[in-house]
Amino acid sequence: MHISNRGKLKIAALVLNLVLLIIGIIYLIPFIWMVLSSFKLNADVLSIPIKILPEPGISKVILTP
Amino acid sequence: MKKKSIGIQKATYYNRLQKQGYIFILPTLLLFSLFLIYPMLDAFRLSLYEWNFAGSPLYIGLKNFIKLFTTKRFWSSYSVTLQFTFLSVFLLMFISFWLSLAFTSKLCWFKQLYQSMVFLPVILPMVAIAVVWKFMFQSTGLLSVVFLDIFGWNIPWLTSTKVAPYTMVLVNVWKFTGYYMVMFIAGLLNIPDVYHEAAKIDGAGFWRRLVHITLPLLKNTIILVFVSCAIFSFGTFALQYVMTGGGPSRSTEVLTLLIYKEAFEYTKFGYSAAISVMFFLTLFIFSIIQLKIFSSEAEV
Amino acid sequence: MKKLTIVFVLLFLLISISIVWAQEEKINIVHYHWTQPPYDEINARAAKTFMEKYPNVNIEIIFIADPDMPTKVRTAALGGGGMDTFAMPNMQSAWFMANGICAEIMPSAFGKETIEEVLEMWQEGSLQKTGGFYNGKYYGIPFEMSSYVAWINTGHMKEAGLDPVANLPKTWKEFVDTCSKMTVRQNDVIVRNGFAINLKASVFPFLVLHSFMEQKGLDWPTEQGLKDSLDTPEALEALTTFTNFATKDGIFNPGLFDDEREGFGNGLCSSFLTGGSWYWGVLDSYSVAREDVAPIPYPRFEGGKDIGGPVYGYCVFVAEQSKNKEWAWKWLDHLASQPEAFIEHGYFQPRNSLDPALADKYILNNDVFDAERRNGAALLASPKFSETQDAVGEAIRRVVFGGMSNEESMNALKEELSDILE
Repeated sequence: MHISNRGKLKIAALVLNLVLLIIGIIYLIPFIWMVLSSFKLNADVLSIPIKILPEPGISKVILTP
Repeated sequence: MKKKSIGIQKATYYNRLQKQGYIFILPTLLLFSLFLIYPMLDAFRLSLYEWNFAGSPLYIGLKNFIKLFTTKRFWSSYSVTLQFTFLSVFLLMFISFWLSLAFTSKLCWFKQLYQSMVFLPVILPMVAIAVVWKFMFQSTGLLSVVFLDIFGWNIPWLTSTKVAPYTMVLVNVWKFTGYYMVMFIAGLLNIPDVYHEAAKIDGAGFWRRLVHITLPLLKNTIILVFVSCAIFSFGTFALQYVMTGGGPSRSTEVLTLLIYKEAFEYTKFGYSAAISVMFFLTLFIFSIIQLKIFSSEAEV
Repeated sequence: MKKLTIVFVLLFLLISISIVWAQEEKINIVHYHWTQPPYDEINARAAKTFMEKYPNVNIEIIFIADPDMPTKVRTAALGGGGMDTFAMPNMQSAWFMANGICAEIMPSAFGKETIEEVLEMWQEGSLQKTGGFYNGKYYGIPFEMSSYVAWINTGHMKEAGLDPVANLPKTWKEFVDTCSKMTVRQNDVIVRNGFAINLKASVFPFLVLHSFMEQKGLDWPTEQGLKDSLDTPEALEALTTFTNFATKDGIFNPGLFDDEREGFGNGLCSSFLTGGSWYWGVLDSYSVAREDVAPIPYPRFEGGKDIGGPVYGYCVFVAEQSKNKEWAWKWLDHLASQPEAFIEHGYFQPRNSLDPALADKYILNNDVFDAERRNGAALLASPKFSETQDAVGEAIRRVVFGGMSNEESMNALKEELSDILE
């Protein structure tokens, strides 16, 4: 397969950016988890099996003491 | 009146400027002395006494130091802190260096986005981070579930005396990578592109350029990162206090945590001051050593 | 323009002086208290009613998280001013009484002549049990007296096929059996603890182990008795029984959660040993219902003494540095005179003015709590309590997390305690 120099550069750039994106997302995971948890009721944060998304109906969360 | 020569006029002018300078920094100097220097000296004095916060201090000379040299708890805490520092510094420098190289390379498309994503943990408060990670590390928390489902490993993140110290390093590295990455990026941007282009024309590959151009020109930055990382990691407190409170059976009880416990839970302020003197001496000796080694190579 | 500024400055000075003047007329009392919903509102209400009754007094309550109490009160006390009264649990109060932070009870503020008359306002022996008595003198008035009982989730018992009345454990062996039937596993990981306790805060395992030791006949309320007990085989048995919960019996996974009161309330554990009658009030804020929960007396050792869970309490004190001691005691008398409001949530105050029928009415299973309180083990009163409790907690943690054997850990504990309690 003949890939020009420019082509090789493009592939390298693609791979690099993918890896960097994954690393960036890994760095953000705890932050995302923190934000999602702040919308959950106390019991849901530690529930088994694990709940990633909060329950629909945020008004319930706001009105519950 | 004889007119002074321009040279002498300049000299006295600069002398005056210097005196004025001292007056300008006087407020900060006062605050610094009051809140940093004075408590530090007082702690040195306190380390020679026995004081439980109520009543008057009792002079006992070097007994506190003898006690801490012969207590297992102090040495184990010291070694925990050293382990944490070594591992943190190594991983932090390694990861942030490669990330900074990646983010300044021409192949990278969304530099600002990636940099922001990696820098975000730096601005989050340590206590909040520790709490969130603690939830993720619990037996049914996000990380445990992910590792169990994907790899089948049941990792005792915070309940094993062997694993907990590494967990601490993990969170510490996650938090501070962005900070040192920014420092490295600043250093990298200072290297003129001309050098790299000239080298490429001469046929130098990636590794050659890295070792012969980038690293030597980054020397100052590397020293700065190394020293600040070491000093900062040695003084880690909030992470251990919030996540494990000293860890499963004192395996993450760092020196600062021991200082806190001895002073505020056991009310042994003299002993605690002695431990902080040891803490200070360690960092002091470290700073002197690195100054001696690197000052000869630093550019004036 | 200049005239205008002068007028404004004078006006500002006038107003601020009058405000300061008005403040100086008032007596300010600052009270440090620990925060625990739903009891914060009752205390805040007490402050309001006191201020209405005595308009020349201004009460300010500062609420602090329970674990921070000793440190913050210590700092306030020795910072020299800004704290008149405070609450303190009996575990920590000995330090304050021993170091001259507390003022002795002033009978005149209660309208009495002698200290004995003041003592008659509370249940006999309650000042000793709640930590208001030290070295022959009385410093604090009781604010809470509780004892730990064992709490079991009868809903989980029914799930496991057990009878929620007949199968209630009476000995520690039965306790372990029952708990292991209620433990739930998923992929070999415990996802519901049969039993749980917070091992990070040393006070909890210390209190439970204290009961174990007392049940084995060892003298833990005194420093000497504590030291001597560590050589006995009974002490080793007690320690082993406790550490086995986590290591051998497979009913306790410390990594599941930290706070067992929360874990039990969320249904993530089936039993715990660190709750008093006040827990009924706390349970209401969680998802597990009152009907599914039963408090039972602490299980006993077969052949051991008939002693229940540890008895502890909180007292309120007047700081020696307070400038208005008489008013401060009046305020404390008022603060501690609402046992009816507290009993509704199951929070017991040993004041003699409390109608015993109310206790039965509001505390479910009050016969259990009352009996355990009478039978319970009084705690060590020593200014070295913090270090002692930490050393004992560490002894337990060494076995559970560090994999050490119980014998080795006991030996290490002996060394540490002989250092601390020299």
